Amino acid sequence: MKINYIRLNNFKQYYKEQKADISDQEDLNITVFHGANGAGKTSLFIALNWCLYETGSENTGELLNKRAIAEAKKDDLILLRVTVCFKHLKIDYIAERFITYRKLEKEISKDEEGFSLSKCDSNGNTTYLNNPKVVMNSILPENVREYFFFDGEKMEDLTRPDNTKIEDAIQNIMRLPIIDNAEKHINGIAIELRRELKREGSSKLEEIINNEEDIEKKIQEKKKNKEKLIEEIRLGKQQIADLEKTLRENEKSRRLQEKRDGLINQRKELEDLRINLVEHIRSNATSLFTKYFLNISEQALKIAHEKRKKGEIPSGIKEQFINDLLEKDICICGRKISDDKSAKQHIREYLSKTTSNKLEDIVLGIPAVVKILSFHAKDTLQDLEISCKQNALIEEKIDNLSKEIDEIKHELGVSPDIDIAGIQSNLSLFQKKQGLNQNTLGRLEQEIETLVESLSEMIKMREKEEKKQMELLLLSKKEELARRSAEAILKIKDEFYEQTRLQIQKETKQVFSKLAWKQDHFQDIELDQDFHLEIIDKWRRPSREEISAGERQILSLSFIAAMARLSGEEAPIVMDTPFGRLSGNHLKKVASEFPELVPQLILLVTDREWEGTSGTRIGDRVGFQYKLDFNDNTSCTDIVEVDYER
Amino acid sequence: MSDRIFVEKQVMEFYKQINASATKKSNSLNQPFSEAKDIFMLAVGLGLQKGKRKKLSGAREGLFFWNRLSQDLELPALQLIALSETGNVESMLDEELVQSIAEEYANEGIRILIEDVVNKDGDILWNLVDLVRN
Repeated sequence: MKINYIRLNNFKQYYKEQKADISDQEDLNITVFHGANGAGKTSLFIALNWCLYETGSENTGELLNKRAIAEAKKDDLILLRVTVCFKHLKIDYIAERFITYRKLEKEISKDEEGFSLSKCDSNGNTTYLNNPKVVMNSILPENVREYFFFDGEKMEDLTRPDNTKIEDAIQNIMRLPIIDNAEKHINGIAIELRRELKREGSSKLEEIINNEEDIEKKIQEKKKNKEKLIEEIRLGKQQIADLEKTLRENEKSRRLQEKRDGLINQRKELEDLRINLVEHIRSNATSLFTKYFLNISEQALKIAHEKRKKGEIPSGIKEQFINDLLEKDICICGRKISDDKSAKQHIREYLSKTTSNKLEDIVLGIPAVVKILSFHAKDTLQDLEISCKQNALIEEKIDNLSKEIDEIKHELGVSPDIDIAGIQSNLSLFQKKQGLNQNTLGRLEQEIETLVESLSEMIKMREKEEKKQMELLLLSKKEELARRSAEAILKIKDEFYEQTRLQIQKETKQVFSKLAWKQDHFQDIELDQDFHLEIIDKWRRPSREEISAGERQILSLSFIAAMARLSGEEAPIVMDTPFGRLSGNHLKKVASEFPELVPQLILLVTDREWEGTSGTRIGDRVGFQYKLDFNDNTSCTDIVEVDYER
Repeated sequence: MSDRIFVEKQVMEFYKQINASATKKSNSLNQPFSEAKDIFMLAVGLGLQKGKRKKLSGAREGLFFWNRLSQDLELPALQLIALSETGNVESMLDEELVQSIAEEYANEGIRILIEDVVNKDGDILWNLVDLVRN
């Protein structure tokens, strides 16, 4: 960037339009504005900053020219404007900032304000840019501005020990934040990609694959079970068919066997009956002693009957009765016989004619015994006869049944019995099992179908997840790329920082060696890893804190010039009161050497400052010189081009 | 008097052979009698039928206790034998007499039983049935 001209309209003490062309030739790269204190040097400096960045006018009073205000009538519009025309990368730009005020009774009110940036082509066509602030910032960033447009009297602040502006300056002028930002940006992308990977990169695919494998395994197991079951059903069918065939073929045998079994059962029943009958016969036969007592019992009965007939039994007089009479001493007729011995004797004689009670009972029981013996013998014998006949009959029946059974056995042949009932039972079992197997098969097929459906779903999910995984892989590659880029940028940054540091250090040292007069005392300039600028004296001691204000100004100028040269920014150096603090030697050195180190130099100087540069080469590089001519009557300054003698 | 009925030792084994209670594993066909007194009473009956008493000779063994006889039929039946043999009602109360007469008739009867039932071919039960039915 090189300034072509600056035009002021009613800006501070510059009444109406005031214009100054700025020299931009390589060998005449200096424009000098001469002005006494209060003539308007700083206002001009402010105008430049205000126009390009709307800054620097703070706490400097009213911007609008007071004369213009005074001359304006009520409701007149008053224009305040600063125009800066400059060339950057071979393109002409016009930056213009304005405010219009309306005159009220006594006061003014802001009516409109604006900033425009236009570029002009070689044919003189002007194009207004849509985003003037952004473009202006890209040409010369606002945070860099103060290192190019600066107040000479405050310049030494830059290199004060407690000031960190050096670091900021290097950062900003060398555009290091761009690299930082790039690193941060790429790192941010890498972090975001990692987050996304973490968010998306779950173990879902593994889980799905595991599930899929499980389902497939289950399906295979079920299919194996199904095949086994089908084989079982097939075998079952065969067995059922075989059993049915056997049953058909053995129908006759079956019938014969049934008949035989029936006969055997009948025989068994008869045999059971016979067992009871035999027991009955046995019981009768073993108790039939009575049969042999019939004769003697008749004889005994006869004897007893004769005895009774004779009156021998029973006697008619009970032994107990006689004993009772004797004890009571009374006769049968009731007469007392206690004193009648003959009567007593007579009664005693009756005792010999009595029988014992036991014998009498036995004798009296004989007819009954005989009757019982007779009945028992008769009944038992009769029963025995019947039982024997029944037994003979049963035996005959059993015999017949045995014969019949033997015949059937003969008919069935010598082959072992076919267990028809067993076959039928087996058939029923097989049929029942077959039914169960069919049900199981149906259930199994249903389960397989369900599992196949699940598998299909799982495959879809897996495919979807695989696609997602591919995307994640891509994401992962992007993340890796971003991470590597960030690492590379960091490396580049480190290298660039280091290179920049060394270059600035070297350049500052070179410039300082040209500008400082105590060449032997100050041996070296160092810029450490943290961009702290240090001046080393001949004892190799850091002496930044010890140097004078003028020396600090020289160090600052050296640093600014080095920065300007290294940054590639072709920006003018605008210095307000640049030599105020410089003593003779320094002033002459700076005046001689500094203009050659910068592309364009605009100096706002007092006459006294300028006179100090006499005898230097600075005059040879001045393209334009202006006097800021302050009029006491109008309190306004005119910019008047002059040609000062050196 | 003795409280037991005695039999000759030589026939004792036959009493045991046909008595189910004499062995543990009884068989109704070969051991039809459930008690020794049943055999004794039938032997007495067979002796009566033959009309012959045989005194016990040689060694004797007790077969069962006298009180095992039923009071309503078996004992009165044996008392009737005594009455019939003696013609004296008093003899019915003479238990020793009643017992010895019964033992002698049984001693004769058991031999019939042995010959016609035990030693005969066929099952003892059916031989017995044939015997008592005739």
